[in-house]
Amino acid sequence: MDNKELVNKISGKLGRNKTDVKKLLDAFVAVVRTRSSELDSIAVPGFGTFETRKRAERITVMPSTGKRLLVPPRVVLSFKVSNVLKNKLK
Amino acid sequence: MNAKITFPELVDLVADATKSNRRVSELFLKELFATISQALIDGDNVTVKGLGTFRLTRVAARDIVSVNTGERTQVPSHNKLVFDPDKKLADELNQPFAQFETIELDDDITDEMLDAEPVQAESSAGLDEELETEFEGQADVLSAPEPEMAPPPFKPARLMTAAPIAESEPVSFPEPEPVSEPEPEPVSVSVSVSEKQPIGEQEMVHESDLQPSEDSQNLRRATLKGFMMGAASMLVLALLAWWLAGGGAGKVPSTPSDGVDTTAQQQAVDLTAASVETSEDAEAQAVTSEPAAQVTDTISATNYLTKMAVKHYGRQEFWVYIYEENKDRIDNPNAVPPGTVLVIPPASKYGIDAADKQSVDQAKKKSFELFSRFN
Repeated sequence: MDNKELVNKISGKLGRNKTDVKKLLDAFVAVVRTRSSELDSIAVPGFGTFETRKRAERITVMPSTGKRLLVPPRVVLSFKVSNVLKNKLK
Repeated sequence: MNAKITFPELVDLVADATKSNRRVSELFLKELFATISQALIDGDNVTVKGLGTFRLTRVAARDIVSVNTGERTQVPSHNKLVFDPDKKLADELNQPFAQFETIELDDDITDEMLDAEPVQAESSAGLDEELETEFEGQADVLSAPEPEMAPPPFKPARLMTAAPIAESEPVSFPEPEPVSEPEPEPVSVSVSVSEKQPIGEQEMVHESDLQPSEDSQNLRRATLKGFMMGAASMLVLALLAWWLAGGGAGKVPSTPSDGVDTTAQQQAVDLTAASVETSEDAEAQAVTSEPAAQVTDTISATNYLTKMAVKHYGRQEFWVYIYEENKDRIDNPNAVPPGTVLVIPPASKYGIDAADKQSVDQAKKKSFELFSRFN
């Protein structure tokens, strides 16, 4: 399901027009974006938690050449699914 | 910073952003997550533009063994939700670390150096803070009259534990450059200076790179806060070792100004050396056959034998040769008084070659001999 379909589905269920729903969805994404870049986490009950995490640097070996690579640290957005949804998906 | 945003807060934030009322935003968000969940339960992937993709993967059944009882149980095959962040969003969040790139490690980096790696990154990343704390710490140690400052018979055990720490520090640059400096030609003044310059420059680049946005700075602060604690405690240990060593040798009546003096001296040496660099550089090639000008370096709290060895020869093991060259000036290599000016021998004199394993091993062997003599 892509973004368009998602907007259509929600607008159908809520009985609001698509532009409004699109605006709300964009606002939600913008909130996640600004808050994650401030290292905040966003918890949605029954769904999961969006969290920014730092991945430490590490050394990996490239299997094809056997060369060792030093991979730099990264900041990533991780999503931890809530137990409720996890069990439903099993 | 690190705040946890709850659902009602999220509702408020979205309502504010769209200038709609709370009810609308709450209904929308509930519907949004319900719709995504339902689609996932139906086995569909969901992509939200600008956020990322939620998808399911099948995890195969596997056996687990309980650590306590040794009992085997099987985890049945199940679905797992995976979230892949949108590429643009991921890049935006990673902006503070964006300047780093994956580097290929040289083959001649030993495992022992890799073990020291995490420490290196920490201490060099927080270098500016480390320097500050260092001088504060130094002043503290100097001004506070230490009760256990018993002269000569110093405690070998204390120094033994302190020594490895001090030795792991010199390697503290994330770039593998100390290793990739096999110098085939005899070292001359210009070499030592030009080696010194890039290191400083690289650090400056790192810092200025991180400057641009205050957010990234903050982020860096936060992620490094933990490291700082470790780095600071290590530093205190190293300073204590230095203090004991300096006091143990009973040569320096250390006063607060003494520490400042040596660093000032060091800087002065750097400056004069740097000014000579340009002229010397051109000559260096021509003069290789002639006896090169003497390279000297000054011992200070932050510049000791092993550190000099890394700087001039690329590996700390070669400190033994600096000691060898300056035997008459050094009573005990574990306790060289700050301010001592040492002659750095040219690499060819002792067959120093950081890329040559045999040369390194020989230096190591020599250092063990010295250790057994002084510890």
